[in-house]
Amino acid sequence: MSGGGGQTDPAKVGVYICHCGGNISDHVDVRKVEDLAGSLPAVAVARRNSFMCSDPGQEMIVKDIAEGRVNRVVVASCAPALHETTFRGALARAGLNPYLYEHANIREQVSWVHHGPGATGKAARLVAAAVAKAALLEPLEPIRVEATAHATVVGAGPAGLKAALDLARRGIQVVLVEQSPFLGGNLARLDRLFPTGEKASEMVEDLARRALSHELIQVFTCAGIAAAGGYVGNFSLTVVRRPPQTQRDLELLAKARSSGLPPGFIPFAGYLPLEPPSAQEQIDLRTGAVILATGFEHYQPHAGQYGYGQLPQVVTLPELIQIMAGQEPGGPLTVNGRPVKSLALIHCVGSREIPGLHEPPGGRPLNEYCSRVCCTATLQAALEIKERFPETLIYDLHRDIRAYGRGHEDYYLEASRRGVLFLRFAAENPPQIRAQAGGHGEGLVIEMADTLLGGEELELETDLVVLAVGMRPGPAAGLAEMLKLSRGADGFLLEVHPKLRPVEPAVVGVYLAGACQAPMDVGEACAAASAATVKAGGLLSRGYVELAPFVARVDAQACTGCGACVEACLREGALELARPPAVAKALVNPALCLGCGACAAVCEPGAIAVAGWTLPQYEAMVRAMIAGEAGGEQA
Amino acid sequence: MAQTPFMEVNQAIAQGGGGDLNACVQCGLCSAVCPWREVEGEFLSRLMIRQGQLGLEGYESDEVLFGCTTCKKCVLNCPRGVDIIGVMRAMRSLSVEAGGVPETLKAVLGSAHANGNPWSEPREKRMEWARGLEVPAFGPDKEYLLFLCCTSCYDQRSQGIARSLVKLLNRAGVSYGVLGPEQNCCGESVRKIGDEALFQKLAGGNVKLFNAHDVRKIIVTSPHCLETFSAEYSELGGEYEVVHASQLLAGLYREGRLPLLGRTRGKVAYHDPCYLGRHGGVFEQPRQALAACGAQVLEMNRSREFSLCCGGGGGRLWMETPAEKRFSLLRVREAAEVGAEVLATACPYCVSLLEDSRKTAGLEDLKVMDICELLAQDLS
Repeated sequence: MSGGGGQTDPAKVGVYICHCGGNISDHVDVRKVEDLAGSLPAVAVARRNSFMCSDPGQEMIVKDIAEGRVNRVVVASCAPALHETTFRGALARAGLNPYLYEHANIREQVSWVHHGPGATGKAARLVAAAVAKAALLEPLEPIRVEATAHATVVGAGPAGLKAALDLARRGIQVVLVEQSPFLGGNLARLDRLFPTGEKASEMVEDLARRALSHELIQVFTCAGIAAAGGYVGNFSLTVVRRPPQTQRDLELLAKARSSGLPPGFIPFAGYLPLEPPSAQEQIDLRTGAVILATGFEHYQPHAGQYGYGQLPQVVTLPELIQIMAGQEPGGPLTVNGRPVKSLALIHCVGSREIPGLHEPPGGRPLNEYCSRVCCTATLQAALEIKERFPETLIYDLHRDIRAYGRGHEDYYLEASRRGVLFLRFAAENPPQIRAQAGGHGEGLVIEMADTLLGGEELELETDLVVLAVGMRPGPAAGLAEMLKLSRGADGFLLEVHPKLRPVEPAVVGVYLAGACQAPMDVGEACAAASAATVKAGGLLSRGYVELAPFVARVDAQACTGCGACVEACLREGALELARPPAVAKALVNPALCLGCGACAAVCEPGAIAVAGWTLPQYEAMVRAMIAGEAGGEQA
Repeated sequence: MAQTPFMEVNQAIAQGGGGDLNACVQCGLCSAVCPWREVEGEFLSRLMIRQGQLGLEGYESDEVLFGCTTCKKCVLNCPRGVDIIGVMRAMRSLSVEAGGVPETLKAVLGSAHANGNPWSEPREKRMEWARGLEVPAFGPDKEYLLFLCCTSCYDQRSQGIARSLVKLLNRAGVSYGVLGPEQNCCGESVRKIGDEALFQKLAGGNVKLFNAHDVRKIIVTSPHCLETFSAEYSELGGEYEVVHASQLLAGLYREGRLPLLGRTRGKVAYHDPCYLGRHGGVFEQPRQALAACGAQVLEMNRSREFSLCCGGGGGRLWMETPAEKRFSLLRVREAAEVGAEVLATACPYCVSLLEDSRKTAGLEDLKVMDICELLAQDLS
C-alpha cells in the first residue's frame, strides 16, 4: 500500500540547505547541493541560509508555504534531535501539517565526518532521499489519550512527601506509597541539616503531618508496588501492604508503642502515622502519573575497609551522628564507652572509586561517582564536635574537599578556623588503620602520606575513626523493571537529558524526584520533587496527553490475523488480536506502541506499517540514493 | 620514619599572631604569585604554612623562614583572605624567642635595642641629617611632627630625601617640627623579623615620647613607618593621623601651596612601594605629585596592586641576597625597558635597593630618585 494514499494535491517540495555558519559549508559545496536539489522533479524551490534555525531562516519556509510555492518541506542541516521540532513548528505556523516535513542531517553525518568532494556527494544523496520521502508524506495527527487526574508517589522521604503535597495543592488526588512503617526516609536519620542548621526531625514531622492531614493524599505505609502496567495518563498499579518483618522495624515499633505512638515521631526512624497492617492487603490503583522518590541507601563499608567491622572504634558518619545525638552535654564525646580525645574523619568511603585501583570484595560494581553531600556533612559533623566537645582534636583526611553548594564553603572555612587539621591523601595511597600496640580496640594508629607535604609519611594516634560513607541507589530495582526505566552507569535512575529534561525518564508519565536519580542533598531533592510535580501536574490537569503519531497502523482489509506481529512486538500490550466473536485482526494501542517497526518487518501481506515511516517511503529513499550513484560521485 | 603532627606548635603560631594559620586551604596561590618565583627562590609560603599547620620542621633556614619580604601580594590574592604575613611573623617569633635569628639580623636587632636604630649608628647622631638646614623643633604650636625613617637619618643617599622634604615643607609654609635623638626606630621591620619584645620596647618608647609632646599628626618619609604608626601603634595607646610625604605634597600642590615650575623634563617611571601601595592603599597621590613637577609619568608592566617588591621588606633589607636574585634588579631593568630616564619611588628601602641594582645592571642613564627629590629640584 502506498504511504501517500492520503495526498490530495501534487507534492511541491521546498528544500532548505543550512550553512551552519561554515560548520557545513566549509566542507560541503552547498551551492552544488542546492543546484542538484533544484533539478529534482518533485522540488519546487531550493534555497540556502547561513543559519536555517534563525528567525530569517525559518521565515523563508513560512513565506514559501504561505505563498503557495511549497507543500512539503526538507531542511538539510544538523541532527534532527536539535532542530527537527523547530522546523515542524515553522510548518505549523504557516498553516501546514507539521508532519509534512523531512530532515536531512548533513552536519553530524557529513561535514563533521567527511572532507573533500565525497562530502558534497553524500550530502546531495541524503537530500535527494529526503525529497523522495517528503513527496510521499501524508498529514498526521498527534495521538491524544485521556489522562486520569491522579498521581502515585513512591517513597515517603523528603522528596516524596514534598511531591505529594505539591500535587495535592494543585487539586490532584495522590497516593503515597512507602515501604517502611515510617515516613521521612533517610532524612529522619539525620540530626541537623546544612546549610541552615535546622532539625531534620522538625522537617519530617512538619511534612508528614501536612501530608497526612491533606484530604487529597492517601498514605500507604509498609507498602510496595507489586505490579505495574498501562501507559501515560492510564497506569494501573497493584499496591501490596505487608506486616513489617525486619528486625529493625519490629524493634522500632515496639519502642514506639511503649511511648504511646502512633501517631508520632521516633528519632532516627521517622514519623509513624498509624499501626502497620497485621495482614497482607492489596490495593489496585488507576493513576495518571507515577513519581518515583525511592531515594538512596548509605554505602555500607565492607568488613575490614579502614578497619570497619573489625575495630570497634571505626564507625560510619551516620552512626556517629546518631551517637552524638544521644550524648549528654558536658564531658568528652564518648563512643562505645570510650572517651574520644582525638578522631579522624575519612572522606570518599565508597565514592569516587577508581577502576583498577579499588577492588571491592564480592565484585560489586564500583561507585565511580562523587556522592556530593558527604564532604559538607563531614564538615558539619566536625564543627558540631568542636562546638559541643571543644577539646577534641580533629583530623580530616580527604582526597578533595567538595563543598560545592550555597553556604557549604562556610562550613569548610569555619572548620579550618576552629583548628580542624586537614590532611590530604592520594587515592592510590589511602590511610591505613590499625589498633595501637598492646591493646584491643584501645586506640587507633593511622598511617598516611600527606600530599601537601610532598607525600611525607605521618602517623596519627586517635580514639576514633569516622568513615564518611557515600550514597548508593535506593531499593527501586523491581519497580524500575516493571516500569522499564533505564539506569545510568552509576546505577541511579536515568533521565532523558540532564539539563533540558532533568526529571523525566524515557517512559512518558513517569517522573524522578530526589536521590533515586543521583546523590543530592535535601534541598536539591525537594527542588527535584517540585520539578517532577510541575511536569506531572501539567500533564494531568489538561485531562489528556498528546503523543507523537509515529505508531503502527493496520490495514484491516489486508490483515490475515496470523498474529506474527503480536509475537514480534517489543512492548507488552501495544499489539493484540481482536478477540472473538470479532474476526481476528491485529489491533494497535497507540499509547503503548513504540513505533519500532518490528511488526512491519514480519507482516507477510504488508498490512501493518508505522505512520511516517512506511515501506514505500523507505523504498523511495533508497531509490533516490542509488540514482545518485550514476552522476553524483564525481562531484 | 613517619612523623606525628605536633599540635602545640600549631597552637603557638595561632596564638602568636598567626591566627589565620588553620584557615589556609593549601591552594598554593600565594607561592605562585610570590616574587621569589621570578628568581627561583627557595621560599615557598604554602609549604612553610603547611609545616606550621602540622608543627613539623623543615622551614628553619634563613632563606625560608626569613625569606618573606612581606610585600603582601599573596595576601591580596589569597582566596581565604589569610593574613599570611601575620602567620610568617608568628612563625619567625617562635624561632627568634629561641634565639634563631639570621646572623646579619642579629646586628640589626642588637643596634635597634641599644641605639634605637637598625644601622648600628649612635643615637645622638640621629639628627645629623638636618645640619645646615632650617628645621624647626616640634612644639605645641606645630601641626605636624616630621618623623624620619632611620634610613633617611643615617644613610647618606637617603639623607637627600629628608633634606629635600624639609625644603618643600618650608616653602609651602607647613607647620611642622622634629623631635630629637630620643626617637626610636618605628619598629616595623623589627616586628616583621619576629622580635616582638623589641618592637614593644621601640614602639612603646615612641608612643610615650609622642604622647608627652601631644603629637596628633605625623608626616613620615617611609611607608613602613606609615604602616606601623597607623595600623599598629594604636595597640600601645598611640592614636595619630599619619600622612606619607607623597600624600602631603600632592595635597599641598593641589592647594596651590607648592611653588613648582613644572620644568622637569624626561620620562619618569613610578615604582609603587609595597607598604605605600598594597599595604597603605596609596596609589594616586604619588603619581599626582610627579605630574605636578612636569614629568611624563610612565607605568611599568607591573604597577599599583601588581607592583614588584624591591626586596627590602620583612628584614630582607639587611640580609644578603645574591645580586642576580634581587627583585630590585628585575625592577630597574623593567624601568629601562619602558624607556624611563628616572625611576621614581617613595620609600627609603626601595631607593636604597634600586640604586644598588641600577649599578649592578650597569644602567648608567637611569636615575633612581625619591618623589621628594624630584619635586625639590623643581621648586622655583
